[in-house]
Amino acid sequence: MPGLRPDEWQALSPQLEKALDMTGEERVEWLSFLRKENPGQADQLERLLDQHQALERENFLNDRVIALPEKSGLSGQSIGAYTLVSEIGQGGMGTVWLAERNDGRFERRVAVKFLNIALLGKGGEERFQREGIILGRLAHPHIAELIDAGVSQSGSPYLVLEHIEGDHIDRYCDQRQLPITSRVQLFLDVVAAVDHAHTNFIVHRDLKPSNVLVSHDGCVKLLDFGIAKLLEINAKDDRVQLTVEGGRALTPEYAAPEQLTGQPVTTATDVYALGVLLYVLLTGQHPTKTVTNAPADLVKAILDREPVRPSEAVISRNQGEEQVSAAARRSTTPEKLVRLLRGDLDTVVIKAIKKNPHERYSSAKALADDLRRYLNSEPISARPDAFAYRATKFIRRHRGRVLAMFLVALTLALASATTWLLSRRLTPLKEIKQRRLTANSVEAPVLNAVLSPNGKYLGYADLHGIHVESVDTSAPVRISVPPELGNDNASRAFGGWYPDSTRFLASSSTEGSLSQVWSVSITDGKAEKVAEIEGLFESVKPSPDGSKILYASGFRNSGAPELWLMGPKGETPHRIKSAEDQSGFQLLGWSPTGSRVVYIYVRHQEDRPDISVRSCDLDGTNEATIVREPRLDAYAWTSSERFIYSRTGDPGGTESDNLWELKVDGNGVAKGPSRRVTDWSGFFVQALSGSADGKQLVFLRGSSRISTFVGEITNAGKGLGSVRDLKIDDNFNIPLAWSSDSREMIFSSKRAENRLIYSQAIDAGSPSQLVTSTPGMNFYIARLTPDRSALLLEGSPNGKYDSAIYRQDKNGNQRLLFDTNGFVQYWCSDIAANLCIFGQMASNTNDLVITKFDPETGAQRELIKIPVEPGSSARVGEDYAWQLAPDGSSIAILRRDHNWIRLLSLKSGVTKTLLLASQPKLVDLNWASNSRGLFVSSRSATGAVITYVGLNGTTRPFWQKPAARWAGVLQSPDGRHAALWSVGRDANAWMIDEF
Amino acid sequence: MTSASAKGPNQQNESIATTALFSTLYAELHRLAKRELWRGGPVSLSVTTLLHEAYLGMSSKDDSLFPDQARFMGYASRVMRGIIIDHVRSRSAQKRGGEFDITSLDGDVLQGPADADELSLISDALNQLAAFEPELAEVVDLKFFCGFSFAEIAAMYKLSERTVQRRWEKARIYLHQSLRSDSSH
Repeated sequence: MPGLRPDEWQALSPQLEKALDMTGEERVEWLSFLRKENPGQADQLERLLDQHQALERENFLNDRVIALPEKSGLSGQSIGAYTLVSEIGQGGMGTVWLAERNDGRFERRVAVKFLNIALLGKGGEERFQREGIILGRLAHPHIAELIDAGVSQSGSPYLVLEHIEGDHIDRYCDQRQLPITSRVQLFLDVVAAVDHAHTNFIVHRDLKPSNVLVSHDGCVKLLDFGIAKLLEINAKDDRVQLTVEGGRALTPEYAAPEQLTGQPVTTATDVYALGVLLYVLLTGQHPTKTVTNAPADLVKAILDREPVRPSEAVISRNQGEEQVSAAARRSTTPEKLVRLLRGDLDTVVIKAIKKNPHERYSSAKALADDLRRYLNSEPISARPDAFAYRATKFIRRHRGRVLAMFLVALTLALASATTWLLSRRLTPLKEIKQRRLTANSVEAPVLNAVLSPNGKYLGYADLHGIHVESVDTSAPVRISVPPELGNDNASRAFGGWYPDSTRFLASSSTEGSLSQVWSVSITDGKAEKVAEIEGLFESVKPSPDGSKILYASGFRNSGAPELWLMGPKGETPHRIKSAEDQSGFQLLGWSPTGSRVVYIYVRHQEDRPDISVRSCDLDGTNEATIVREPRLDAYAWTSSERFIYSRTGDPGGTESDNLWELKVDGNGVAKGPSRRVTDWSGFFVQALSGSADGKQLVFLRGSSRISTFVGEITNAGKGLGSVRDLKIDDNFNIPLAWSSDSREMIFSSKRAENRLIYSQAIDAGSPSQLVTSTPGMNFYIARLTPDRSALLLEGSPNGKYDSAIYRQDKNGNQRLLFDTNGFVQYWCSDIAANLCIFGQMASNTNDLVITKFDPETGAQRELIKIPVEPGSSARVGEDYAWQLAPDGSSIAILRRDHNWIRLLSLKSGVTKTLLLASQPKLVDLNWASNSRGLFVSSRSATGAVITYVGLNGTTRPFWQKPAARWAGVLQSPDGRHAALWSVGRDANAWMIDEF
Repeated sequence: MTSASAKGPNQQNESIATTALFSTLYAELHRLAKRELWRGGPVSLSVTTLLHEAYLGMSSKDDSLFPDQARFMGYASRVMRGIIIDHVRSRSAQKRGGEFDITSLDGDVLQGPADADELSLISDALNQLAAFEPELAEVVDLKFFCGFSFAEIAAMYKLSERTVQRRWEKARIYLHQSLRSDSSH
């Protein structure tokens, strides 16, 4: 049909208008009527109306395709409280600007990201802001903080994000020539962030190197979390119109197959992108790299081609020089690189980038777990039957139950893994000679130690008091100890030295009274009281010139809420800084010149602390971050340029603390990346201090130990009489149960090749092996069946991750009862109730699922599912301890590091909560044998504490173990004895002479 | 339909005013568009806001030019159409540089580069239509090029939504006819 002439159109137009207003039936009737008068026009109209239907169907012109003009860049515009400074990036999602606060309240640079979506109407804006709030709650040290979200005056939605100065992770690794293990470690931070988001139901969807920045101090930050989702959610809203310039800016190289084919995006999509990222970090290449680089080829490769294993990729694709440089960027040779990648890393990466989402790791956490296993030289789950290290495996499997023991086991396990680690490290660090200065036992570990500025004296505190000794000869220096500093009930600390190294400050605190600060001279041995301070936190630090004293006061979980300064005689105390809510100051110090005070600042974000070392001027202003490091343990600013800190290895990893070094300016601002300077393993490193010339460095080096005791129970089961050391030996023995006659304690121990179950009479004698040992089998936990006729053992063969419950009867015969799916805690009641249960975290929620099982047959039935703490990120396996009452009536659940215990009656399903106001840091619980009370262990400032808590709410102190980090009680069935154990530490001062 | 005689006396004046208006508007819209870009917001989406702002800005300067918002929108949307087509043309030139995008086809929004030639054809056809039924062409400008909804356009012109929709449908039939005949040449 030719185009309509204007006159034709003008004739048809009014008719068309009429027809468009009619229903279909009316139209037919009207057209037939019209046809009689003007058949030509009726035909034309009919055709046009048919076309109209077709146009309607195909949405002709209904979709806008338009995006606008050339970009131009001018700054100075305001967005909320921020002024745009300069454009720092542009991507598919939008434009990113550097901005700073314009209200002058505090200096903060932020990134403002404008999203390429339009929100029409108020509903769209509200929805966007709501989403922004959800994302803002995603607090994690490795996720760039979302500070604000809003819609600009012109209707553009924007996000205000933490501004990260850093490099893309791949470039960061290459520029620093990080070896493979360091890359994997760095990558684990990325995975941790992704996992955190996943547990909050937020999928990233666009993970790629440019979204993973590493700051110069080595801190990983993920950008753009959930923004892809934000775009999509808005697109589904009718009232919201979405236009992305040039289409959704998916990064094809990191897109998972399901994203390209329009399948649902899940957490598995992020696992894929993580896999690709890891592939790139390990090999420098893309798993489905194509020759042509054409998008169509790339898409085809992502969908169809099986990726080459990383180890093969570095051989086959990188020939000659390129191959050498790829290896050099990883501080190794091509041959070694291939060897490093071949095997576990190949397997892990390939599993992460499976085309079928269901074949990938089920979660980011599972991927992380395997990588940690790789780092620990344990068998990875993706290929279960490889080698293993039993000791490390023990920790891993039982970390839920014994959080503190975990630390012990870790250190022990390290010893065996050390050789392995050292042989795998590619660029061994220069060996640093260290020597021990003190010789304290585990009963009285060194609590803190400070080197004098001239490097000649060591001042330290332990349970017995404050001491000074010569660094060269270890001879003690006589000082007169004021009675308050020697008081056994006081917690005391060596504060710091005055600049001439002849005097020092020390403090003592006794609960309920003012803390005392003493100045002690080592030349005449005299001490004088300088000040009394209310709520002194830790200790006092004299400034490098001796003119001021720095201290913190108050107590919170995160540290002290206030920083104070006073004169050398305690005069004019004044507060210089207050912490934000939920935050606190710890480990105070000074800059070498004394112009800045230094402190660790701990901010609690949900459950995770954000830890940084910061410094500020003496009036509390001009705060600057020196280093932000969640695993920081201690620091020392040893010379004008040199800042040293100790950092814990990956929790669960095999590395222990190591020293790191940072070059800083006068304000403590880092001038470059952190550098690791030690290659230690097997101990923790705390309380760093240096001599004034910066050459000598003193630190506390230690490890955890476990001790076992047996005590008489008095006072109708609530009190403790005499306690004696059970002196089993030093093989990390964990009391587990009592024999039915209450005469022997049953414990697990690794005194032979494998961890097995032993018993020892409490009166005397040596332990006897209780379980029938099967070669290659470890047994970790033992419980008695309700009728006390058999043992229920949790065991697993060497190298196997999943464990099983076995039953061993009186004549020593073992049989498998059931396999556990991962870690379980299991308990049996006494015969009266004939009940055995195990509890496990539900796989997809955080519920505690209690399952009843038959101790004879192993038959199971789910009993109850308990939403332990709705909305919390706490995990049942790690953050809760629970136990079945011996009479089978109820379950007590304790939240670690909090102060509540929940009692769930199995008969009525009613829960009751016990709040222990005076014990804020609970660790574990054990039922009294009469089921009428609980022994609750908690941590205090001076040691481990066990409190008897009656079900009626009465509490009574039961046992205290000074200097211990953790303690536990197991009451004998007859109620007369308690097996007691404590996890303490063995810590001494060590020194590096040439640092 | 407006009769020729009703238009007659004012025609001369109006076209002079229109010319002046167009150049002023063009400058104003470009200024706004640039400012919009400084803010980082993609302008394509904010055309709506842009026009509102341009109207507020210009009507405060000289209210004789714009007796009502509908009149202003009629002009402004035509100006906007020109800016948009220019942009698409320059963008499609850049696109040929070889960068690739993967277009996600989910959602109800068609994405992907608009074809500048096709837009030009639409524009030409709209100009023809505007010669005898300007109110139909305006609806297309406002809806297709500027992204207003029927409800918004109805509010501007103080018409019922149904009327606006009918105008849109008619205009679309006309454009389709016109484009088809054009491409069949």
